[in-house]
Amino acid sequence: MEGIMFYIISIITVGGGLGVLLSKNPYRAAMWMIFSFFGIAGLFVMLHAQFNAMLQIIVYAGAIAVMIMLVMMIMDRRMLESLERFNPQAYWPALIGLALLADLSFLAYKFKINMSNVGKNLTINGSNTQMIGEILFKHYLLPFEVTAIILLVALIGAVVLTKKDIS
Amino acid sequence: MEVLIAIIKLIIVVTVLSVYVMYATWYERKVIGHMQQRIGPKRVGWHGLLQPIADTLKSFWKEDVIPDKADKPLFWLAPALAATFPFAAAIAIPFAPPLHLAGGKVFYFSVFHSKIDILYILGMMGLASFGVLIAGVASGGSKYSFTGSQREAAQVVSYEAVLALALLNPILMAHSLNLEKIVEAQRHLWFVFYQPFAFVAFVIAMIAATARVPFDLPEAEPELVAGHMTEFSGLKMGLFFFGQYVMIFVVSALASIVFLGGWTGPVLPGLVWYWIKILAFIFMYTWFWGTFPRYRYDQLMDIAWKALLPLMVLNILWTGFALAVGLPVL
Repeated sequence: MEGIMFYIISIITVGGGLGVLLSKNPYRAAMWMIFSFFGIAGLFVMLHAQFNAMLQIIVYAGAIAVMIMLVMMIMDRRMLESLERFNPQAYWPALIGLALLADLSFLAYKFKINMSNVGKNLTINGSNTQMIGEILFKHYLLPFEVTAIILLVALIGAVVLTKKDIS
Repeated sequence: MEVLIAIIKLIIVVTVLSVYVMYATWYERKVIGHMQQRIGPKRVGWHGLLQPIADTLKSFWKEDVIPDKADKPLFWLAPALAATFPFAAAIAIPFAPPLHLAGGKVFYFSVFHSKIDILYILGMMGLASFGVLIAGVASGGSKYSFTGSQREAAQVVSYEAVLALALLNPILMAHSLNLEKIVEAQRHLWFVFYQPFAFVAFVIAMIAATARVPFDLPEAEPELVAGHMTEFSGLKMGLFFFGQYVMIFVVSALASIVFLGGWTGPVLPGLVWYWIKILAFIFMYTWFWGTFPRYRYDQLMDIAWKALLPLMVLNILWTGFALAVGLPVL
């Protein structure tokens, strides 16, 4: 049962990712991306990490994807249509991707992944909101705050760099 | 067995909500009619009670027009998503207080119950806007639809943040994301008395999140024809309304659970209190519709980012401080 669920969810995740790459229309690509996020949220649920799953949906599918759609809507329509899908240097990332794939399949072959454990939660039994909060705010408070400040700096930097005074 | 019960619950919830949507339109037309010194629907059935059924039948037989330049798959997807996600949010809303059976079992009157109900509802509410967003994109370059969707995108991003921040205060006070636990925490005094600012911010944000007057910019009739729904006809357009009305029910129920104590209250039984509160919020929507003029787009953004968001951040800081030192929060 878990195995079947896992395969369905992984098909959703990987299929969504392929959809992002293969669709020409940027809006359709955004929809495929949300589909893929759903798959990832499903994987979190299978690991009993419901809190992370819901954050995945709220933050990524709900906020960031809407943001991406908004930016595409504000961009000039002709510019959006004239965008090239691949630039001339597309070979190198493709090579890196191939190398990564080869690496992962080699690892899978070497460590002989046990296919009967597919979809089973072998690590932690039940993660909950309170536990995440305690770990983040008791043990890792300083790194957490530093991350927040880094994000804020990036945000303000983007505003400063792109701001133009409208005359 | 559990799966069977869940399926039966799901069918009941979808049926009840569909009937609710039909009669919500009747109720709204009737109330708005009386507010404007008219009488509203009167001819079909007693006091127009059969009018919603006539409207539904009519929308089934209408010709389904699809623009030539429309993006066909997305054009089909948009109304489907617009109706699906509000229903998905509604399945986590309890329709009645939980029933404590013999043997320590609890029967929940919501299809889906988990420890993170609020997050689930928020997530589905965020996704519900995608129906509207795709509607504008799929309409094949119709300027009205496109502008409507653009507004919806900006509005959703701003007000989802306010909605979540306003909800955070009661969550902090109840120490739980579970709707039952939150109601339980309000046994003695409702959270609206502890958190009046959060409640006001939540009400403003929930009206904006459902895109109703005075924040109905995505479909502002005087400027945009019908906004994102301009190119849709018949049943497809009906599905957008479906989504919107179910969404109104979801946020009303959420507001009454989180701020007004759900099914707690003196004298009357819990079920009655709960539905009085929900119906009061639904009436509030209609009342605002009959009262307020529409805000301008930049005013809408100013309210969210310059007033509500900083206020809510301050409110959370204060709530956290007060809870930490053991003050009664106000």
